[in-house]
Amino acid sequence: MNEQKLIHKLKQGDRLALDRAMDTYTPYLAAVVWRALGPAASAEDVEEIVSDAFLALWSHRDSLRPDGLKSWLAVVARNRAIDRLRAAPPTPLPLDEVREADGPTPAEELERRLFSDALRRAVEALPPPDGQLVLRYYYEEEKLKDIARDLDLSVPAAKSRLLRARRRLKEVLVKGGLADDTVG
Amino acid sequence: MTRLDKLWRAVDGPGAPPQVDGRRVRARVNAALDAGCPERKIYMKKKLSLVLAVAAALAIMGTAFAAVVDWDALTAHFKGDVSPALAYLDSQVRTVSDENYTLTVESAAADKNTVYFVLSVSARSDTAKAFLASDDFDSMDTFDAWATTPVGATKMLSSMGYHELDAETEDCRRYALDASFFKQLSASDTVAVRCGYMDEDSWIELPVTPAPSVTVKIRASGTGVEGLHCRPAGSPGQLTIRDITLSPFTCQIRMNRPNMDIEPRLLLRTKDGSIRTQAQFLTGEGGDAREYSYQCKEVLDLDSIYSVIIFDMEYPLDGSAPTPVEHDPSLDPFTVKRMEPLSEGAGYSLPAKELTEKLGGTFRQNAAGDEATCAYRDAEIVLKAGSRTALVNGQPVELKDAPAMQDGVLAAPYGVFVDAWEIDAYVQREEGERISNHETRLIWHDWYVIP
Repeated sequence: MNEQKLIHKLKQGDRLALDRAMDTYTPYLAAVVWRALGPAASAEDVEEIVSDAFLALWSHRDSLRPDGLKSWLAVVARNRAIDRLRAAPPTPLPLDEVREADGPTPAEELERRLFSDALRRAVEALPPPDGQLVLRYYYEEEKLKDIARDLDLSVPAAKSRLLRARRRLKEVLVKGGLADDTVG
Repeated sequence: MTRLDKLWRAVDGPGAPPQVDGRRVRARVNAALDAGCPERKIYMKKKLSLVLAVAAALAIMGTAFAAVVDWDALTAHFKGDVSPALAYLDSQVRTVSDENYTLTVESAAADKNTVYFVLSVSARSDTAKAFLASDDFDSMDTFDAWATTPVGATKMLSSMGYHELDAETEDCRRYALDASFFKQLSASDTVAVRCGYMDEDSWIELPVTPAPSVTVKIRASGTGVEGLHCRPAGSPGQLTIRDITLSPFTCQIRMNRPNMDIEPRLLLRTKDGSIRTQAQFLTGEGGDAREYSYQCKEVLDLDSIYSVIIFDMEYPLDGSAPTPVEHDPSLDPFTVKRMEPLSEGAGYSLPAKELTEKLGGTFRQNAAGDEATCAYRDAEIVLKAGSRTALVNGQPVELKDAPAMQDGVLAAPYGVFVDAWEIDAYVQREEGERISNHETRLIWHDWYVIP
């Protein structure tokens, strides 16, 4: 379903369209929110803000413009993330906290989040169009053929650039002391 | 596994990436909307009706939309003339079914590194048909593959890629899939492939017949170019090449390089004397400090290739002694001015005249300068400011963005040049001032172009 059709269905009050919007845009909005909140944010914080953005979408569906749904959602999600930061900045993970059974220790959780932040920054530092290609493919889970079309690349060329970018990301993280320097 | 999981693994991330659970987001949103709201029942009824309607429509349509495109494992993966590799095409059709799907391997071809497939998945139940038709069918788990030796040892998959081919029917989707392995394949190995949505034991096994390859001993050091993602791109660096192995499908380079940013630049000379650059015949590289692997854009006819040229030395494929060759500066990478984007968020553009002339091509334009003919290699590109249709060798090609005049210069989207002229082009980057604890402002420089 393309964006215009999705907006049309939302305006009709179609909850299936809202489901589709959540399926389509949750990875994207999660990336936007995590970027705004920083590595200290928990998955629960991000889920809550992303959920709020979809609830706002449902509430304001009558006033949606016929295009720009993705950017509308991103603005809402980012603003809510900033509101959250102002109200209650994420607190550092307590290293002495007792971990949940089978879950990561606080130290492991901290390592994951710092790595995630470093990876995201490395992705954003890739030169165009590779940064967008990686973000949209890996973080936002868009179809490669759609991204390739938007970035004026053939699908094989996009695939080639993804491979190259992935290798480059590992090199950047190895240099930063965050990834293991082995064959990848 | 999500795509972020895959990226996380590729960069050796610790544990699993922090990410949100889409199901929890949906549950949270629906719970909030359903609290005291009668909409939910209507919604569920509508959802069920939609599934039934889709199933009914599919049943009515049946196989009316039969596949017509005659893809095979060579034409689906390689451009141009594939006839040099027809002898290595396995066209035996093999199928496996479970209660939901039938997987069919229509054809396959392999060398020692990679197996290329054309395969299709057909749905056998209404539920499977609905899922097959959905966007969710394409995921990281859609396909799996592995290889075994005659004594039962496993050769693990190192990478897999697939893309959907045109002309799928309503209950069948066709794919081009490539699977590469950490260890080289040999003629006695068996490769197994499976659709990830089928039963665990629903594998199709097929014998491997790797296409022959030629290994050229190099054992020389020289200057490579710094990787395109480095700052600035193109800075030279030293590396040592041990050997280069060419097959009809791939190119493997074994080397030592102290700096993993340094990449080799090689050329092929065909027996008719013409030169093929790396950007023309290779794509999709990957590897580490010791081995690099590329896929060929077109099937390589090894019988037509005379030599590999690297470090300004020519190494004949027949193993005879290498000889020095004169360096051709027209094939060296260069930079051209970065133009303003042609559209918001993308629209990367190049100055058509500067690019064409630096490549050594010919450039003509009308008096107003807003329509240009750019010729290089075997392709002539006609561009017009404001028109999203270009002509490539007389054939209309749709552009992502219309070319535009910028300060009297015709700026055109880079994709048309990359595709028509088989060049590589990247925007260089450099880190500038630090603007916060986390962010560093990036400064984008000129395009870095590799002929």
